[in-house]
Amino acid sequence: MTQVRESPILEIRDLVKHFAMRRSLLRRSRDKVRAVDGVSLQIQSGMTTALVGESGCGKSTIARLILQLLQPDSGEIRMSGEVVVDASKGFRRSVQMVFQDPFSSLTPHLTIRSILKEPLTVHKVCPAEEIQDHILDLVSAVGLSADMLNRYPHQLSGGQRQRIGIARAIAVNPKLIICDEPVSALDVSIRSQIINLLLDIQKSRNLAYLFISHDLDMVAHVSDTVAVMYLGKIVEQAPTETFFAGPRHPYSKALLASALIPDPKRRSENRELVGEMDSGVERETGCSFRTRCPLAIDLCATREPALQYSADEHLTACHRIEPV
Amino acid sequence: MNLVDIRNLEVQFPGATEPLTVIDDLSLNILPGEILGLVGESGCGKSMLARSIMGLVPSPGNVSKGQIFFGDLDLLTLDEPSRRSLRGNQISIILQEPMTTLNPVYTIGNQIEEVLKEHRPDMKRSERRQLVIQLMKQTGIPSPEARIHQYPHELSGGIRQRVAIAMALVGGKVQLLIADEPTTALDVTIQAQILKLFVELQKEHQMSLLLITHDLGVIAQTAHRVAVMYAGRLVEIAHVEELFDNPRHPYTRGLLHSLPRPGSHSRKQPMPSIPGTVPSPGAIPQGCAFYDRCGFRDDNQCLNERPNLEEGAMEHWVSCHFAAEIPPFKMISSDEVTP
Repeated sequence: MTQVRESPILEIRDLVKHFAMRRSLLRRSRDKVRAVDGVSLQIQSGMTTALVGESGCGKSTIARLILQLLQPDSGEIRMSGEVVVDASKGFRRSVQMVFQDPFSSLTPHLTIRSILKEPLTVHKVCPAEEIQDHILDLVSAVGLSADMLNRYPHQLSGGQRQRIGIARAIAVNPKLIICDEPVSALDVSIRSQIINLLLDIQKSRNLAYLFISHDLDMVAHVSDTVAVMYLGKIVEQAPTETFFAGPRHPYSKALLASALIPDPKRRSENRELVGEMDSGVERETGCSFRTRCPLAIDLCATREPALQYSADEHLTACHRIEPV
Repeated sequence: MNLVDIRNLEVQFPGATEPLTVIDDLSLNILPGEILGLVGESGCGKSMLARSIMGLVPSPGNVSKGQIFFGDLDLLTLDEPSRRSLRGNQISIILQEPMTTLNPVYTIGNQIEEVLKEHRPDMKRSERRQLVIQLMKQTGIPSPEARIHQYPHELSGGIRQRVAIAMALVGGKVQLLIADEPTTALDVTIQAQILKLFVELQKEHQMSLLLITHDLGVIAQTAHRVAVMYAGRLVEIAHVEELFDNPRHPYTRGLLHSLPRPGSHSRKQPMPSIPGTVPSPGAIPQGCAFYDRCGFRDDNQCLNERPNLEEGAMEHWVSCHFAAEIPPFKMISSDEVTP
């Protein structure tokens, strides 16, 4: 008997979302931005999947699709095995989000107490008389003291605000939190505090994270699985250790090579990747990375590479990598 | 001989009861032809330092003390017309977000040309166009002849930043280029391209570059010397390899420790971090500004006495009472940052 694998907390299959472009006021153009173009992804309970890529590659659109803030053109999203069709309260409770910018994600005219109370009352997490205790538990869970509760967001530092953002996300006991660049707006000395907090509550609450980031060193530290996106598609996916031990897709290699190593003894001269990512509007046939790819061959211009296993647990979409 | 010599600079903003000091008794020099990295967190005063050199401290802030020498000129005593002739000519600045630097309703060709007109009023229009195209080529903008007719929104972030760099170099005699977080808004692959361009231009024009960033990776890959600021004060300055090998100030050490480095601490384990947050300008401790967060502090001296920036071996300057006693830096140990 083979062991039955636990069904993932979140599973997305062949998700597609195109946005129509408007060229002028009167004429609607037929051009489309292929923001998400056939993405499949799984996140296991209690685990972290990192989504890596440059701005405009579709990572945030995926987050919005999962949260049902956008409707996909095709494809499906399953939570704990069940297809999500609309944003029911139960669904909203199980998926929460931590935003990049802690300055704009907290309502400025509400006190921290009111900000944390809102999800508790909306989702009826606990009886009314227990709400205050629950709020106290939340602030202490994110390492803040109770005297923060009567303050307004502008009275808090960036790190404290991000802690409140995390407290608000865990208030309704979700199963999955989407962290969209959760530390990139914070100062370097605060980042590791917030990362430690996220790791800590993941362990104690068995949370799954979709960790969206462009910081590869951070991704290497926090994630279990890495998925690299380029122009709406996943081009490589592997367990974190496998990925960082040997990225296989030429784009992933270029991403790692352009990361700036904080060590003056390891200066690299020719680290940069030529060109820029296309807009995703005019997509001809073939691989969308080929215009920047050092390994491109004729085949890359005519046929689009499929995402397939190139090694154990290692998915790549590239004609130049032999499948298993 | 220094290109820039800043002496005891103090910048203040009016506060509710007393003025808030955002740059506090800061002395710093920039050598000709060097890349000086300036690191610090948001609000530590690094951008205000750049603005002080440019003579663009926003009102109601003002430079309340100190001198800034540019060669033999004391910039702070110059009248506005003379400062204006220096700006963009010998001293230029590039800001973080090129979208806000550029005017959205003019083509980029027009905008670069406008600056050129200011500096070289004698030039003919056709000559100016030629020079604009040449400058755009120099900053690596592909097909400049077509691009001069484009508007900022039609360009990618990387190309926009190249346009901003071209504008900064228009004067042709730039000796000091200040770049304030020039790659923070860019993607990693583009960031590497832009930094390479900076290093090339710096060599080619033999200018000094003051590179302001919070990213230690950017510093490690490009700077010759590094200055570290904390809460309006300069806490450490050294050659880049010396600073990364042998950081003496507890704040610098904490910053280096808290970088995620694959291999140095295992995956999903707690990372070393600096506890607490940066004090706001009104609440900086009387003694050392880092007192509240420091693992080496002494309750008497550090709380009451402000440490001076003192020179040690290897032209390494540190402002810490315990600089000499702090053990050698080891990348892996995390105990010293968590008291």
